[in-house]
Amino acid sequence: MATYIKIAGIGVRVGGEAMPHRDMLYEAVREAYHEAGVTRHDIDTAVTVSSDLAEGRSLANQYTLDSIGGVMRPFDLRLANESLHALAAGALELHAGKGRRAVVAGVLRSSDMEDLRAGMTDLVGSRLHLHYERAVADSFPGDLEIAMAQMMQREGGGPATTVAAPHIDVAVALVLEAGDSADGVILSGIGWHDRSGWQLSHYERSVAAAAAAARRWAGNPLTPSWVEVPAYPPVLVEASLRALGLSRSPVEVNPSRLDGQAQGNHMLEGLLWTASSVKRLRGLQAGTVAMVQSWQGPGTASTAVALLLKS
Amino acid sequence: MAVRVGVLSTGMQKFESKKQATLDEMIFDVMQKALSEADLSIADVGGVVFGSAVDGFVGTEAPELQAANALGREGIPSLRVSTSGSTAISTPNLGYHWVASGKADVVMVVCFDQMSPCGSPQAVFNTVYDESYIRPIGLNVPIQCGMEARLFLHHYGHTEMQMAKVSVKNHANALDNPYAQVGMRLSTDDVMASPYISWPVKRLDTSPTSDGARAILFAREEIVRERKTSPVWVKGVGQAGDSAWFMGRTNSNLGRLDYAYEAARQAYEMAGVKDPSREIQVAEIYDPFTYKEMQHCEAMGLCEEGGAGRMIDDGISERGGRLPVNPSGGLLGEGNPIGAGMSRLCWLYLQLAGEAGPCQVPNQPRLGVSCGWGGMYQYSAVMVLGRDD
Repeated sequence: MATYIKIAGIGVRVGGEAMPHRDMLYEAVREAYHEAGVTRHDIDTAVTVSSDLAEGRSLANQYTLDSIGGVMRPFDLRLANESLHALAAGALELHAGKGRRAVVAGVLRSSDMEDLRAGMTDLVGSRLHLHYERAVADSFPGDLEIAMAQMMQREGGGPATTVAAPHIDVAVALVLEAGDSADGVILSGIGWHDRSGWQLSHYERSVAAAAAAARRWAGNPLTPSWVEVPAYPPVLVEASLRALGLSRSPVEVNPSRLDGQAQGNHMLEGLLWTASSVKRLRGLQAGTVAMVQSWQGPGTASTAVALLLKS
Repeated sequence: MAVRVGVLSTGMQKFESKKQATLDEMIFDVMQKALSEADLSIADVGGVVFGSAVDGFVGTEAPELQAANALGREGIPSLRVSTSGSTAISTPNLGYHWVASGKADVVMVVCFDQMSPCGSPQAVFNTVYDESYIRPIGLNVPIQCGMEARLFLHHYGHTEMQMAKVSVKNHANALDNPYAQVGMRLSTDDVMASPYISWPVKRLDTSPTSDGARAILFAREEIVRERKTSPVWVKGVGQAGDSAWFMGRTNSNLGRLDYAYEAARQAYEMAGVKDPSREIQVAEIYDPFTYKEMQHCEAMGLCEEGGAGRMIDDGISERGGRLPVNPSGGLLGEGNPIGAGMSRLCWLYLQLAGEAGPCQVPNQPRLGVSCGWGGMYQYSAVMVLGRDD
């Protein structure tokens, strides 16, 4: 069983106006493999994340295998949750002895949604309970997205705002490497918590539980130097800090966004911010800790927290 | 060294073409049955892995979050696997790895699909094809299956009559399965006379669309030994995939499932199985179509490549045969709510535990294999279960 999970390589492809999903993902994965100094033959397992609705076809994950170099390789595990969940699944496989290296990757092209607001409303609406919640949604004033923002506002979340983020086209890949010695940036702990939910209180409970689980995994109450948290809608920043117990802490908030990264509530936030935090941690002294918290998006109270340690 | 992982229990319910239950109710039902059988409560579960094939069936994006609400306890971490038909085994594979990692003592795997709300499952399946290159040529699941089946029969000299015998066997086996949707006594004439869906695949070569769920509980060795006198262990797992772009695969014989052979090789290597045709004593394998059972018999090494026709002709795969295949009726007889095809693994466990009731095969088996198949006719997941040597 592996003692440490090191993040050995990262690859990010932001923007892709004239590039299909498969090419964006291929470029990100190739960059991550190159940085880790490996080829596809050195990878033992893989987890990919995608959204059928956002991509516009069912089983969107099935097309990722070619892009990550997975053809006739033993790593055909595919996951459809938010992206830090995929990171957790990759880490579990390595801890279980599935192999030495895993790739965790995902791709999203929200620009494919011609009308992002309508697309987001469709996406959020499709998460409603088929029998119970959709009937209620019909009585929402205006579109669902605005109704959600109003709901958050009623719970003390500041001015009503839309929850749809700007367009973002992005592919992210991380190479995880299991080993017995801690060097570089390691995934020290990861925790997650899942449920559907509409209220800010659901969100906060979920974040607090995910953070507690991440600390248990780490076996150490690590104090982060900075946190990366969801920022759309802005009310979530304060909610996250409260739930993480960092409201009164001097911790930096969202400092490590890579150039060109739009903020948004999309399923790849977690991997994207993990990649940017790893990049930043590499230049800092040993013992520095970063915390990344993600959210599956509107209509869910599904969150995850990763603790990254420079060793 | 990974933690040794065993099976504690299963949660089963009848598959139906249109279940009078919500998704939450279906999941709650199988989860409670699995917990009750293992004498555990939800508080004892350290994690849940959900599996469902295609969101479009259920009509809900991220249906696992609704499923999480049905667990009756907030705060259980969950993961979701979605690999189409092979969800049936790739989901329990992740459940196995979770326990084997030492990060949870007990993990529940819940697989479900509810195909009836979407009205037309084939219309949903049509959306899996690439919108630029594949959809315009009009390919759909039946047509692709017909092409694959034709190649399989042609390449290995198998016949439509042998496919019909698989249908007769599995539908008859399902008569003894209390959870089965379409158990029935058929003759090969009935099958051969049923209308073609896409030559050579006929209606009675095809599994029905279904609603249903299955649960299975995995636990670390100490917990399994406390509760089971004859434990059943996860001996091996494997999974592999070929290119989603089937026209560009290196193997031009689409009738041979290279990826399934590879997934089986991994699982057998991990389990220490050298000759599956002699060592495997019962198989519950993925059979959404009759020819798929035959392909999987070959890919899982239950017979030599090209030997599946002989297996069914000689009665080897009958419930009372030398190597029973799908003695519970398979997907053909039990029903096929795609993700809940994990039922094959549940039945494999029941066979090895000696708890399969009227479906039990003679000569208590000690080692068995299960598999799932999915995606763009491209990937496979395999699990080998066995009792102590």
